[in-house]
Amino acid sequence: MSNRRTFLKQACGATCGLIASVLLGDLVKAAPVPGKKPYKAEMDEQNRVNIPLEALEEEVLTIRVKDLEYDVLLYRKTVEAGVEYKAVYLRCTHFDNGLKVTPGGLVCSMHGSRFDFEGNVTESPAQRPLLQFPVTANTETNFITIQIQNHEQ
Amino acid sequence: MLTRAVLFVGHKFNSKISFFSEMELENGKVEGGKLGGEIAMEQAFLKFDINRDLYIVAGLFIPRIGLINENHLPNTFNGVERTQVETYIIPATWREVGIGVYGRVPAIDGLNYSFALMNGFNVAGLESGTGWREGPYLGFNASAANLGVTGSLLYYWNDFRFQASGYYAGGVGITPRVADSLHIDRGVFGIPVWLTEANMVYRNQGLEVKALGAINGIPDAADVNRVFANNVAKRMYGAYVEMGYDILHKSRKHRSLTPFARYETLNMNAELPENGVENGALNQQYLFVGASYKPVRGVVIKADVMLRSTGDLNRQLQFTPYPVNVPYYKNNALVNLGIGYSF
Repeated sequence: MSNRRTFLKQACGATCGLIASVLLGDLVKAAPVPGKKPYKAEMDEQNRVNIPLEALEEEVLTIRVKDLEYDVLLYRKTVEAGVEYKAVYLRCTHFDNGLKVTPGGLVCSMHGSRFDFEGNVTESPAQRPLLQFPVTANTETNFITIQIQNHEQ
Repeated sequence: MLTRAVLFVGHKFNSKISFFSEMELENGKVEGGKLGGEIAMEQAFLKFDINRDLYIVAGLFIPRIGLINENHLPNTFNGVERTQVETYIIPATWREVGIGVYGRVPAIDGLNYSFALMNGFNVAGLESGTGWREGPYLGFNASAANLGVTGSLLYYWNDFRFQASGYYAGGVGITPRVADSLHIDRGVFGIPVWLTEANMVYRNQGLEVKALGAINGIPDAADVNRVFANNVAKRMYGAYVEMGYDILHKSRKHRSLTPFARYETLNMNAELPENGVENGALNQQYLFVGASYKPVRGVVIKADVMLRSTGDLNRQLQFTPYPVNVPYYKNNALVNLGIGYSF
């Protein structure tokens, strides 16, 4: 009897330990990167913002553009053909509030709307996707150009 | 019944100052001389954007307490009715007149905070059996004779959302002369009331899990009962956990169909003062099972079954004479059907 009880105790302990270590491993692996300061940029006369490719060290880059009310998110998406760049205006389409960039996507702390990095709504109350800006990447000059437009609507 | 119809009006004065308002009509209509129906402002505040990490609101606004309070549109929660815990323990939609500061911590992705100074609470309005529902002033007859403060931390981390908030306020908004004549404490934080809650939401691949726990208290509940004779509790608590799964989450047409289940427990007389009268009927458990279908993002069709179980009703608190008096069932079920929209 004592052996059986000991075995059950040890088996339960080992199982709990295994689950805890898996969860802990996930937590450590998924630990958020401390916030980076936004990349500061200016618009030229044609409302273009030029970003050096090297500034995009990770998948996303928050850009603080002088004279723009909200930040811009530049997102590098890996597709079959290579790489695509998307730029979205970080203004919630529900209540015109600034969005926060988190590892899981874009969130509005005012009413909880969520968007993916391409600006698609993933959680209401927002219903419209984020404003997107055209992006062109020049591999010769190694610059990405974002055309700022329609942001005052 | 047309439970609610809300009109939103907003205006942006410039890039830094905006106005937001919600006017709500409850129960379809308001008619002179008849009970029922209500027209109320749910929000009417100015928002001042200080910078990209900080803004201030001033006016009638909804503090960040709980999940549904700030985000109460029908297409954002499961179930036809709002949760019981966020109806009686956290009296959503809870708004007060005051000033609030909302911001994010730039050094930590996803960490947000809020702090607000508002008018106080009204313990005289509390009614036994309705939790804290009748305690907020909601902008009606509120004064600065008593005040309330609230603060929250909100953290988005991967697919999780964590929030904790607290509230502390004076419970008696009457003049010193009246308070003295009633022999009740007064002042900005006289007859203090407090509430604290924490909640968590997890969303991933169509799965959504929500959990919330809240507890509130009125340490001087005995004084409140002596003066206002409303049998208030010294402490109440409530908690719920909900799980739903959107079986259409891979649909590209923005449709969703989310079966869900929610268990709630709340006790509106968890601790009574010496002059309180216990009522087992206020110790309640609920199981909701239902589904929400959204053909598009802004429209929801809802259905659920509610199973309720309570303790024994204290017959001494039942004043309605026989045969008008209806029998009390400790276990009952209710089917709810509803539609909702927001745009």
